[in-house]
Amino acid sequence: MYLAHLINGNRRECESIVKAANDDKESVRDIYENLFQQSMYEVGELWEYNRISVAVEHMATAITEHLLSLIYPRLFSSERIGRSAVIACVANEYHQLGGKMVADIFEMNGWDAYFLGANTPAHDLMELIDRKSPELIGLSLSIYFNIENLRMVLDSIHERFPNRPVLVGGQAFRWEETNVLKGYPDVEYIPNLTALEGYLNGR
Amino acid sequence: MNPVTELDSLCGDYLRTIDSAVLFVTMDRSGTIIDSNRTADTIFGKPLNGMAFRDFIVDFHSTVSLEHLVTAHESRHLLSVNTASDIPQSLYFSFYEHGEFITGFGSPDIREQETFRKQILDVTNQMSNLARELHKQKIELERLNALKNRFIGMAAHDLRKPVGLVLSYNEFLLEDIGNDIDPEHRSFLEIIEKASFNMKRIIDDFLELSIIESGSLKLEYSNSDIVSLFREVIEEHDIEFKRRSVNVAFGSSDTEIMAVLDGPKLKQVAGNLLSNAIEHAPVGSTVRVRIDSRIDYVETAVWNTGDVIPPETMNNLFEPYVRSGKSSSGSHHAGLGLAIARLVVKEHGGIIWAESDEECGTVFRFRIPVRPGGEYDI
Repeated sequence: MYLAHLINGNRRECESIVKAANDDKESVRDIYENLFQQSMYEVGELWEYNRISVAVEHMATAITEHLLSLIYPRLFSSERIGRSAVIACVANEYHQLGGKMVADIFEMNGWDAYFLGANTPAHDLMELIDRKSPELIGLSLSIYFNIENLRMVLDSIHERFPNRPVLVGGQAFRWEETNVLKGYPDVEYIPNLTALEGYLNGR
Repeated sequence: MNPVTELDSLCGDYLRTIDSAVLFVTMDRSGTIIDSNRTADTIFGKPLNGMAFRDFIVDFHSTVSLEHLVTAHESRHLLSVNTASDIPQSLYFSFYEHGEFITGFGSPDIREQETFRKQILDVTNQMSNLARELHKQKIELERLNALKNRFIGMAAHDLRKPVGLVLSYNEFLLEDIGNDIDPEHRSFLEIIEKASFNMKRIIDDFLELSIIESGSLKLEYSNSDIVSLFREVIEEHDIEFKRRSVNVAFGSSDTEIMAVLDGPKLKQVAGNLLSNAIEHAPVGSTVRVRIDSRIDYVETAVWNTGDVIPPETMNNLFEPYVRSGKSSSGSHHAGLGLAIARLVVKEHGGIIWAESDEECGTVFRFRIPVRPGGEYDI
């Protein structure tokens, strides 16, 4: 039902569903994973099978980005634990929703997550890491063809901030094509939001 | 049928039956549309047949000439067309003559659309990131504000006792030896009394504000007569009126106006408004107080004829630590009276505001519903 509203552009109906889940105190992670992430995976699949257009995909993304803001009052109210992370999408990567949801999971766990958004130029990312000195860096990749950009960013991070842990995730790795990450000892692949939360709880 | 004619026929069928990106309209020499494809009708929202071409397009300055469009058919003409959504759409047109008819083909510019799409995507992303940042900062500011309230509350609470002791012991000294010491030393004790009293008022205001802002204020409602409540407050300010040589005029629509409210808190609001008016009233002038009963609410007004409040102050008059203007009494306080008044009125479900001009002077008004949670027409 939610998915149907999403791809038909029924923003108000989607809002009602998210508000109801929020009012029922469903956990933020459940809302993110079961509603936002699940529906956007399905939207992506519908597009891949030419069942919906790119325009519809973008509309669904824009609506979802708006819906995230309904959760923010709860999300940012969690107690701060004085730890920080920088989350970004690499250059040429225009799908920022996944990265943003990752940043939000950090926030939910009391971290301060600086989210740089889509298509982050490498030097902007390095500058922010330098300035904020985060404990962790998260990189999101949706399109596997952008893997070279990811590799370049990982090289830069490794050179300028050796031993800084980097988490990598996103739809680009959904077929477990993570071989490219093997050469980086400080890089860890995080397959989904539940795994991310597990990782954060273990730190 | 030869292949070219066959293709022409296919193209014609395609353009006519499929919702493509290309629209066409065929018209006679007078510009009346006699044929259009599905795309054209869909964009316009209804069949174009029989309509004038000039009503299909947006031509603010009546500069579009069909004759010119046809003669310059080799170039593309940018025209905007009216749409079903009332948001005009810009298309690039080419016009061709055939016999007695003119056909115009219109299509969007693909590169322009691509740029537009990219920009919209970027802007949406940026706006959504900005919204996220604002939400984050809002929560952070609320957190800091709560911390500040707690700190102010604790500090005010801890300062209250020593100031109270200074006041009490000073009072003992004045009573016990005030008449036995020389006038200069007595005046020292009087200055201590005045300063301590002022300090106590400021501390009380800080404590009050921190309690209200932290959301810990619990109103204790009872059915009260707001007219007698204001009368009591005026009497309590009698010394202030006399000291400043300011008169008071009181009036109300009824001798008794009942409302369900927190009496002591509303008295505090009335007191703050009255003190503020006395403070800014010129010597010898009159402070006017008026209470009116309306159907579902009560409105009060307190006037003074002091200096006009400048517009830049007007916008944040009820913010903490803002003074409502140059005081003519020279009194010192923290500028919390109006902020407290606003918060208390708001807790009652009411509104408070000020008006100030040369002609009428300055008036502070507030309205509260006669019953808590009652609705009233603002």
